Amino acid sequence: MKKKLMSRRKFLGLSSSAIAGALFGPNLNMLTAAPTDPFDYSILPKGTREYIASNCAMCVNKCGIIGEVVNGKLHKINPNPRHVKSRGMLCAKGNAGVSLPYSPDRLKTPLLRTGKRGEGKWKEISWDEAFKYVAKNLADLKQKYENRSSVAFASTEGFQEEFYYYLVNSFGSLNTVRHTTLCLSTNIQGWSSVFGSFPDADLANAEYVLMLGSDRAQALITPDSVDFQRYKPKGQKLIVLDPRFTETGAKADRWYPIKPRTDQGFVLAMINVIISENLYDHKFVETYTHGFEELKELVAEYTPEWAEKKCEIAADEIRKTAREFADHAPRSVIYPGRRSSFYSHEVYVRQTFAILAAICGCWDTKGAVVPKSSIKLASHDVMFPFFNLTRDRVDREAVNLVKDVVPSAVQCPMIGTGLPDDSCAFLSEKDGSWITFREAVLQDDPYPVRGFFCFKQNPVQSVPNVKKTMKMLEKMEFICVIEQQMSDTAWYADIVLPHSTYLESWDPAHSIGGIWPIVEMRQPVIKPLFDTKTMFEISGGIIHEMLKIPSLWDDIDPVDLVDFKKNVVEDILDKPIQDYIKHQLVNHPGAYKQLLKEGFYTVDGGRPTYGKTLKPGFRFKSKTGKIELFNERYKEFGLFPLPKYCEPEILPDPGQYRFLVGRTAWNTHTSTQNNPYLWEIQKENAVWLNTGEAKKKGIVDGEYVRIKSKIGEQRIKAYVTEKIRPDCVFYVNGWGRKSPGMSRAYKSGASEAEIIDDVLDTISGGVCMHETFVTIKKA
Amino acid sequence: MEMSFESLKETIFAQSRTLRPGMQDKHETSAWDKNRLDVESALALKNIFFYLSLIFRYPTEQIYSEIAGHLEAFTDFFTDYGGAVPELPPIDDLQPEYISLFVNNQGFVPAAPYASCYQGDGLLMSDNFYRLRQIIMESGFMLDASVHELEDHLAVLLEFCSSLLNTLVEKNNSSDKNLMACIYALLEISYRYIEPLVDDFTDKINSYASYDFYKVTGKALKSLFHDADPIYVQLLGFRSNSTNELQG
Repeated sequence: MKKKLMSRRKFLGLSSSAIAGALFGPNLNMLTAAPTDPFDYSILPKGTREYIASNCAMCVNKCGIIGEVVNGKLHKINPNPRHVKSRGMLCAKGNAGVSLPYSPDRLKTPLLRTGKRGEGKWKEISWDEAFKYVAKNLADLKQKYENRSSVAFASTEGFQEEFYYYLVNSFGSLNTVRHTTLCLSTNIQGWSSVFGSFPDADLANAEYVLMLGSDRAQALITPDSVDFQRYKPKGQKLIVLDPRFTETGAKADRWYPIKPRTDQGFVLAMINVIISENLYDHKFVETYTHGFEELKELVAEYTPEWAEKKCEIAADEIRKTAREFADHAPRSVIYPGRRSSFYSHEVYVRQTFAILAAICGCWDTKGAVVPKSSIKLASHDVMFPFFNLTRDRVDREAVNLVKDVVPSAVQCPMIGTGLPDDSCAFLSEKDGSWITFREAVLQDDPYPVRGFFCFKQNPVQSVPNVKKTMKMLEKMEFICVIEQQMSDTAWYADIVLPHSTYLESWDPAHSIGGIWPIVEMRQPVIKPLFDTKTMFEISGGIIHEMLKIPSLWDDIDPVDLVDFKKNVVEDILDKPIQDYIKHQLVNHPGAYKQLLKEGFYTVDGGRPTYGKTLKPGFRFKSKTGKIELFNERYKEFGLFPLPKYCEPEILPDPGQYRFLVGRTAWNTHTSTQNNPYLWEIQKENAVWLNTGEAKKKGIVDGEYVRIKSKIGEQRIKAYVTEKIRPDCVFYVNGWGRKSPGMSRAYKSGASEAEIIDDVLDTISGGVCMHETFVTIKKA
Repeated sequence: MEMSFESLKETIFAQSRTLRPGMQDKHETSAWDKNRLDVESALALKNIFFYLSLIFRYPTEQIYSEIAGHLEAFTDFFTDYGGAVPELPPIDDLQPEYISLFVNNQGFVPAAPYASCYQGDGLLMSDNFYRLRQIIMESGFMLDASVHELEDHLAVLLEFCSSLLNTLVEKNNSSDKNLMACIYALLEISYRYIEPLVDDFTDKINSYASYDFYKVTGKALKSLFHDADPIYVQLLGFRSNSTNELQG
């Protein structure tokens, strides 16, 4: 051993290595001389502790946070006790956000693919190179397809998203696709069909709360969750309907294990009782609504006894719930909830919920559902050029889109009886529809889409039927992903641009609507750790390079280009983002300072306002200007103007279970499963299986099983429990990842994207995540 | 009284000790006889540290050229410590290899080259990070503004060690009373930041590398720091309680 050590250390003598050192080239040092004398201790940074207000971005709720920064490092994230919306709450995810900037897995510098797509071969490039590369590819695609919409842009909500749209609008594509149709598009459409807008629930003041399919105590934590926790023990009555005995169900006064896909029947029967027993709010109905007589006629057949056969809830219980709801009105809430991407008729389900609220006068008053208020910010009057080479969205321009590209909907006997079969009836301009967009791309109908940008969305994991998503990506000639982590989608990109975390960046001011409207913005809590940029900077960089390529601007009026350079580039993108924010707040003196200090701004002390839609002369956003129990536009579109009960189109075969998917409070969709702190809470998902069903199959709790749909198969641990009906199974989303790099989630549990069939709601374009049937057997 | 190498290491790791006051301490300054510095060895180690620093940086064309141009000069070192002379793949292969090992793989980084990731909860900027920044600044250095990296990146640490050795050599004939501070810094960086990294780091390289280049250089790095005690004793001329064994 001694001899070996001596031998190894022979380099310590005057050797070739010593000589070689003198020959190292210049400019290789990463370190440089400090601008002061070494060992002058007076100039060293002193230990510091700062508290910086901002807003969380670990999910969509944007709760108020205060970053505790010690010696330049984020030590802890505290809740902001003064924040009007989050009311001093910060959930597990919000706390775990402290690890986000310090994850070694995060993207650190722009990466360019050098091998085959998905092979994992990358090289580092500078931001200048990256911007040039992206601009050139945009120009090439525009020249090749003579259609700017041949490049699609996917994104999800967030403060920086508006700058993503600067890029989208500067290129001129109309093909944008957002997360909404994976989440709550049906909810927005259903409630809006009645009230013209999607409201909030005033859980803080409600006396009676009816929750169908929402798990406020365990799913995504929101301000509603805080109010739920705070006010439920103070006498508020809570009725929960869910095929599972959830944490919310456990806190309820009554829990009904409703048969999946029959919620509409339960609520229709409630409406039947309330009308037939004359319990509705006559004055409200007469003053504010349209179509009551038609509604009365429709629901006459939907008696509690009829509903009992559908929902498997006793008629007397339905009757009792209806009477209680009416008795507590207007302080009764039928909870609108969040994600509603459940069933193909979901818009009608949500329309039915809204109608129940309407006939009881549970609208825009304390303790009811309340339309959102907002604080108006100054806009920047941005005018983007009008491009000649731009075609309409693929998911709207295609003829007979639904019939052609969503075969599962064609099988549905409801086609022609309430659901459109040609295209989505109420497709949002900006949101699009993920399922129809993907199908249109796969079939090149009506035109090829060959470029794909993706900002903070991970469709490989989040859009049902992952095989189709992969095929869609294969068709792309250019993929650019802007992300914080090497997501499953980023892995298949040609270029990956690293985005700064929400704790490192300035984000513009946003008006957050609600019962308690506020304005929020973000300031950096810490300095960026790596060579990352925000979307504001990324859009600016790409647009500057685009301006150097004349062919990108040859289909616009030259005057438009001059205006664009001045108004968008020089006046906004070339200036500090703080100038942008200050302009947004120009009508609110003191707001900028308040936002720096507190992270939020309110008017009137943040007090809620009720009744603005009940004032004389107010016009609801509907064809009649009233609350429409009978929707006139639906009638024009050939939809059900009234919430006719929709029988299930697809029924399970013997031995099949309806698959249900859900969220937890400690993970946000597919983005947080690898977080070390959140992983401590949950290390894999498990499929809920009813005890009796498990016994029949000889499956014991904790045993691994295989779950199979017509789309795919997954391996997952069984959670054998009485807390779920025998006809369905359930697991939470975000697990069973494709990426070995998602070390904590890789092959841990099961992915829902591998299981869920791509069934479409053809009114809003939403995904239907609970229309898939599965079998289960021992693994 | 002359301090033994073991006492010196113990001092560095004593939690109660803060670096700054100690470095100006006359007693500590006198704890080392600068005449014992093995200048040639220091220069050799300086160059090895710098060469390893180049290896564990992203191989731009300039860096790749330096690595390729000087590989032959370090043949003995790699043979003795890495078990072989590393075979340098073409740059078009080495760049993706570097990214997939040390920067970003599919959702993760297999062998994070940051000292912090091998301490505490495995995240960046661990509790010792601020202290590292202090040490670097105290020694008269800072990250160049063009470098978007953290100070505890392995390449920075190795370059810093190289620079400290350079300072020791250059100021060896002067009366600079802060030479002892250099030694403290060198040993603290070696033992507190690099040495705890090398085992896991090289294991992960071995698990994920497609080419032998980083396996061999990683092994050399690991062996070098496992051998740090006798190297520093010999190079700095400290008395060791186990001198004979350490010095062979």
